[in-house]
Amino acid sequence: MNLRVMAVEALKEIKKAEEEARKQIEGAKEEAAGMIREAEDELKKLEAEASKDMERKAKEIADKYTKEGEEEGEAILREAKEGAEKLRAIAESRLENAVDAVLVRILGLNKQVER
Amino acid sequence: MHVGASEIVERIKAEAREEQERILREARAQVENRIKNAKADIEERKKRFIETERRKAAENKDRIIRAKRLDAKKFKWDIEEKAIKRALEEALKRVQHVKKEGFRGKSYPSILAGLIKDAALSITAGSERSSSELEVVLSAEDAQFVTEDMLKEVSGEAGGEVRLSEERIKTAGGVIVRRSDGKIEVNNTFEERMKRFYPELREDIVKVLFHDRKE
Repeated sequence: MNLRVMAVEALKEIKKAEEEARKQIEGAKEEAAGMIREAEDELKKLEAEASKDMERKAKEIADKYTKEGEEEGEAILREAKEGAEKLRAIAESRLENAVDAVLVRILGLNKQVER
Repeated sequence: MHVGASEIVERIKAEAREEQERILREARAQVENRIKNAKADIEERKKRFIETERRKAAENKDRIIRAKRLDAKKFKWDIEEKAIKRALEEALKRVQHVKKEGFRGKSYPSILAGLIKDAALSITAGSERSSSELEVVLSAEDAQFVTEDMLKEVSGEAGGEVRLSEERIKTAGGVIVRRSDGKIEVNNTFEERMKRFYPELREDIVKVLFHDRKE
């Protein structure tokens, strides 16, 4: 083989290697882009799960506090009703005294000269 | 292949491999970093969101409790209002009994005389005229309890001539006393006194009905 032919062969080999290298790098770039796309999808999934999770937790918290409020409120009302019943009974037992107090004032027996 | 060329080919392949590895390494690092940051961001947002929701829920709980406390107070107010109304109604009903039996050792005519005297004194005290003529207006029922002697006595004490009017009014009891020129009048009917002294009466009733007697 003469030198000229050898040189042409060598150049062909180099050219082929360069082409393969270019393809290899292109492939790597595509693979990297694919990894980033997958990551974007993963992020969307994470966002969606987090959003669902937050909604569920918000409902749990709201339900828990509402239940507590209603229970405490009911206890307050129960106690108030009992208190009111006692108050009603006391008022009933003292009604005659209250009527006397009213009569004292409207009959003018509280010794005041009122216009 | 010439030795020099094969070296070049090998170098090209080695550089391509290195570049490929670098691209993939950087992509992996970028992905890892983005996911790590996103997770941290999500956790932070979750934390803030939950805190906000907890605060809102706690406020709602307080609102529920405040509303129930107000309802509880309304129970008490309702009892008090009903008891006050009842005491006032019963007192007006009891007036008929007072007319027959008197009250606290006082006969109804003397009670009536006291009301006439108080009203007459109010008028004469506020009147510039040295001698006022006053007339007493009552219901037909109460007019029976007023005597000439009673009016004479009141006239003496009030500093003005007090006489019984022929006019009759509808009332559970009590009197209206007015100057004969009609310019000054004191209404001492029980209904009117109840209206006039309503704040004091409420206070009296609440004191009697609801204050602890040990106080």
